[in-house]
Amino acid sequence: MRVPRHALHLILPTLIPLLFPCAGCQLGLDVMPITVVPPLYAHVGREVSVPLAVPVSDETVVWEWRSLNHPELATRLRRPTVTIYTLGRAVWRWTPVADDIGPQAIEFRARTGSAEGVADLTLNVDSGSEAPVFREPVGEGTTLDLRQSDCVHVSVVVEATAASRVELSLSQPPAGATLVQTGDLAGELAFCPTPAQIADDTVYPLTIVAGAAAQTIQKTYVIVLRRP
Amino acid sequence: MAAAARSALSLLALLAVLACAPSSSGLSDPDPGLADLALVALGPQVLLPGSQIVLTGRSFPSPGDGSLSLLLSGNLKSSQGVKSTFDVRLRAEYVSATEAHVLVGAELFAALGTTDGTFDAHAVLIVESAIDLSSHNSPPLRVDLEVRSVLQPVLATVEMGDGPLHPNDWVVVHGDGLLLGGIEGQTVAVLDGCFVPDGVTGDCASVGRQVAGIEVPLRPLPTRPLDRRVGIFAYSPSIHGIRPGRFTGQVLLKNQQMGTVPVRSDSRALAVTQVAPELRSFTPSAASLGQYVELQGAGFIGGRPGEATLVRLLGQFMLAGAPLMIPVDLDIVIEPVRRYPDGPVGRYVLDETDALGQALAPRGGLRQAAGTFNGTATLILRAGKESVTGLPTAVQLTLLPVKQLVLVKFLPSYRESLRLFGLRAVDLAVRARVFDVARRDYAGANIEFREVDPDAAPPSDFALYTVVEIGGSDPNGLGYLGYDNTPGRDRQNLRLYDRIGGVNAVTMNDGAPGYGGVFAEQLLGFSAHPGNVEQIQGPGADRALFDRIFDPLRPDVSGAAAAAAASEAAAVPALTDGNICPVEPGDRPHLIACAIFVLGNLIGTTMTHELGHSLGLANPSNASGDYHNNGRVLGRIMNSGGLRSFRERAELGSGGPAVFCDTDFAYLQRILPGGTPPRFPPPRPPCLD
Repeated sequence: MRVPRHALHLILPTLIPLLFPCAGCQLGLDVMPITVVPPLYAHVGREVSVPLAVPVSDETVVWEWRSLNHPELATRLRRPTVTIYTLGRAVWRWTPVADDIGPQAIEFRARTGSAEGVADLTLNVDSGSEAPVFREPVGEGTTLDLRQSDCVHVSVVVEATAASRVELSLSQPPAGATLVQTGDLAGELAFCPTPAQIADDTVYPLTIVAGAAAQTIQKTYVIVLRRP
Repeated sequence: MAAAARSALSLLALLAVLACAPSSSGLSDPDPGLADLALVALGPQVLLPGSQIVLTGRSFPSPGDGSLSLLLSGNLKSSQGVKSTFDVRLRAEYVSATEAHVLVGAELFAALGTTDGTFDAHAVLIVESAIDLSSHNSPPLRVDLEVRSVLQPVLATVEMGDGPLHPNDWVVVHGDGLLLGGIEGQTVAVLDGCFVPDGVTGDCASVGRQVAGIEVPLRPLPTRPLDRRVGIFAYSPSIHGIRPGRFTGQVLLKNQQMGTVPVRSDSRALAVTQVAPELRSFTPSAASLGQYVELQGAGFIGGRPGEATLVRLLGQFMLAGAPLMIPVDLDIVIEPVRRYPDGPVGRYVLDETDALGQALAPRGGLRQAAGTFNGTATLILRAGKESVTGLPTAVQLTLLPVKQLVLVKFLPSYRESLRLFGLRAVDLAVRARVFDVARRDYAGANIEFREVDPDAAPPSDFALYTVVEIGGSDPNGLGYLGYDNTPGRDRQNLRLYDRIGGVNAVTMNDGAPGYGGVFAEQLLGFSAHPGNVEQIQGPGADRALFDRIFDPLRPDVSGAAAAAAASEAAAVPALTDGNICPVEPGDRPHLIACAIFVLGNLIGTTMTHELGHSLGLANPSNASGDYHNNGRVLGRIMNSGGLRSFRERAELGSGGPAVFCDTDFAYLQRILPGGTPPRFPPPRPPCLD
């Protein structure tokens, strides 16, 4: 065996070579190292490409894989595929679905007429979610016309792909301002200024806070009073 | 001979055991698309612990196609004068096809053997391609760089433009040794002095406001983000408030570097006259619900606790199509946008819940009450208990009928799925057909379709917009062609901000599939031999028709995929109907044209159907109505999948194109008025709702 002309020694320092003694290999075959390049991340709905290589030049390589913790992965209709190239190279491709969220362990096996190798890959599939965003209120503030109403009510809606519920609150609110959660991702901001507040000022800035898991987002909002 | 026999037996034995991977002879080397790989520039010139080296160049592959690293090799001269050579390879993170970042850390300093020195080196970007599993190097780039453990700021001059400053106006500082933010640290401007408001006389120490050690963050100049010799800071209300007046004092720069004691520059005298805010104009002068209106002027504040910018609108609103003048006297709240150099500007989004939206509520609100405001606009700043009012400016603002902006994102998985159809090389032609279909189907409703990159920043003109993602396979694993994963039917289109794509935790929590979008790969299910894709029920004649269109191009059935060669692409006509399809395999230009037409129709009509759901269809007048049209009338876009044949979706023969049925279309025109009607209105079948 010899190293391919593309000089894997250039690749190896930054890739993660996973060299294993070939447990379960056929007797009489040489042990062949497999280079597995793990993906930076694995998200649901996004194809994962895992380059594979063995140090052969012109021999035919048979590639095999199996899931060590989800055997059904190999039998589902949309199972991962291996594209085999020349010079001992191949690419394993897989698009995880929602049911695949969590740890995945894959075993790769390569075989030529005279050698065999085995390598494992572990990866964690996540949902591919993004930070939550405020959807309502869309603007920066509103006006409470005290000639028409004593209170202002503002709908607050958060879009969160990862969490089915966020915790809504107010930061540094004026006295009497409340934010009541009306749903998992919604709430209502209410402010009924007292006569003293009406006499004191007409502009009440506040900050709406939404927390989901480890992520917290804020939105500044201004309530302007229109005196009678 | 014996060895050969042993090999053959071994292979046979292995094949008998293995169940998953197809055994095949290897494909020839694939093209990794790196022929034009180049590193053009590298900076900043001075590197600190935690600095981010920005690499700019060409043909950088995305993480799925290869990993990036930077090889630096050259000659070092330490600050003690010791000379040596070095060679180090650092991991680079992909940002775009023309930009990548490298974090400066212990690995570089260990290779250099010092934290302070200068070096000349060759920089090479190395790509480990996941396509051909080979290493590709850019041509070397000669660079002269410097490493420092601590950077001393130098303040040379302070530039404030002509005349006085408004709150939050930009101040430009020139010098050296500025930190660029991020992990390496932050430079701040430190101001000391005294402020006397206009109208107040006397000694500042007794009648003025003392300013002691107020720190304002410095930013790199946006047009020169790697230049340590120039930076900007906002003349913030935190310095001495927002009232007009005069500040006299000093400013210096302070570097707050990771893990080091802050170091300061010498100070420079600073005298600033602060004036009231100014409003010049509204841009654009006509806008609709959810659209941004920018306010040109100066002095916009907000986004920090206790700060706000208001605009008082005084005048009259003339309703379109009615001789009604509604008096307007209201305050709207403005968001400051810290743009340089033509900023900060103010930004207002037309919002149903603010004062303007409420004022028009009796006339149908911003969804119905089109018209024009004529009058004056006056800026009012608030910071804590301080309030400053500018001069009124004459403005005109026309409210347009509500428009739905739809951003269409073609995901990488969509592009990969085109390979299965043999159409990867004509991706843009397929996209163009998708947009033709979308605009045709919604002609007459006020909808704008716009293509954006998957990672594009939000649009600068609209705050409210819907996103539709076109992907590859169905991430739900259910084999759907498309799925609207927004919560429920949005009757009356109350949400202008739906996202048909990604994952929606709410819908998933309700037990429904969480992942939405249009799933192009699943369309292979119309084939008689769909490979790994779930087959779609349908008549055999439709499957045969699908295969006549795509088999000559599908690599998995020995077809020859459309080539990327310009000559072949140029010879392919863009079809507007499918009368000539399918064509004989020998007529390659028309063969490819038919495949583009059909796949574009399949994706496009799936998208218009899913978008219809997010707009409240079908049965929009019935809260408990079905998601799809009632009855079994064919040719309706909002029919259930079982009634939408391949021929109809593909618009081949007498099938298709489907249209929105009569009352569905009337509903679309009602909730999104003002669209341009089609030149030749199609007959519309009954909705039966």
